[in-house]
Amino acid sequence: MSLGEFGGDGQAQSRTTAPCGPLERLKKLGSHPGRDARAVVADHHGHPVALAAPGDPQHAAFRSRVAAFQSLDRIAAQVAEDTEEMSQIMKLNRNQEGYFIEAHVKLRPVDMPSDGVFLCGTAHGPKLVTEAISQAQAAASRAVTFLAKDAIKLSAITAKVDVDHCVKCLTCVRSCPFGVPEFNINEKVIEINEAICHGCGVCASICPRQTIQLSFYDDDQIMCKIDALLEAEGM
Amino acid sequence: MRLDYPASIKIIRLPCTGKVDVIHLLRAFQKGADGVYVVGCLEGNCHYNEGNFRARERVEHVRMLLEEIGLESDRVRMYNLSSGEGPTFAAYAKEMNENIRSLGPNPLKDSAKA
Repeated sequence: MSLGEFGGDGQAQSRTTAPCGPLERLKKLGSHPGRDARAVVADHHGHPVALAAPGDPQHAAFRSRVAAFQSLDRIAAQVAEDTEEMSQIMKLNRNQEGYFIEAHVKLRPVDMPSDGVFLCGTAHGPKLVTEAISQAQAAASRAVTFLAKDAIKLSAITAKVDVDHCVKCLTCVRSCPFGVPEFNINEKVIEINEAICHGCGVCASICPRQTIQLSFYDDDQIMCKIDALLEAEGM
Repeated sequence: MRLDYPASIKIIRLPCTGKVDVIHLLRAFQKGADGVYVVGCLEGNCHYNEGNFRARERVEHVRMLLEEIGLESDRVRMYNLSSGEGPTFAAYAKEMNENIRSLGPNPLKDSAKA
């Protein structure tokens, strides 16, 4: 059932054709200038099923529902504004309205794309308390799954140093955003601990001698991909 | 989301745009690509802290190199967006496609075929 308003002259107000989320539609309803306009309740095909004039109890009920949605919108919008700092600290992505995004809507609804971080409640979007509780229970279960294991499987996408050709310039040590490469004074080699390497590839791209390669994303592999994609175009 | 983007665009995935090197961008032009663009996280929001800033510097360097060798520097661009912004990705793809179509084909393409 969709709600719409007619202006005082009986003409339908133009419905926007731009794609907009539910919050945008509610904002537009709430900011309608005709506060004393007649209210029309329409079904989902847009056919009016009831007409209520100001003073009519149905009209008042309609306006109060719009007001309730408006305040939900304000509350929801406020929650979304708080998330900016968190998103920058934890490197989590948000959608256009400012809510955090799950890894996959159907297959991983409470996971975040980063491992070990889980999502529930109004950080995900405006929802009812019962929904928030179910989601929180799901997120807690997912967290326990992580903690209950004896051993954790790590991503195999890690950087490897070719120690024979490394000149120990320490550029990788200085460039890694996570401080992973270490210079082993005794062995006189650069060590990249596979367990803590995040697999971003910055050291691999910055190495002046190209002696660091990122597994699965070797320079040779990337070059092959470029060649293959362009060859397929008939170039 | 079932959005469209032009079929002329081929995608190579990397863990972070910080992995993109100048040589990769130049290789694409050498092999006949009409344009290359790098798409990374929003500035300040790089998943690996500052990889996208490195990519930005490298893309600017390649723009300078292209000017020096006589290609239009606008053939290479970098865009920043959040991983949740599907429609924006499609919009940038279309924008880049229009841009390259207006610039015309890569003059090096004939020597690439040889």
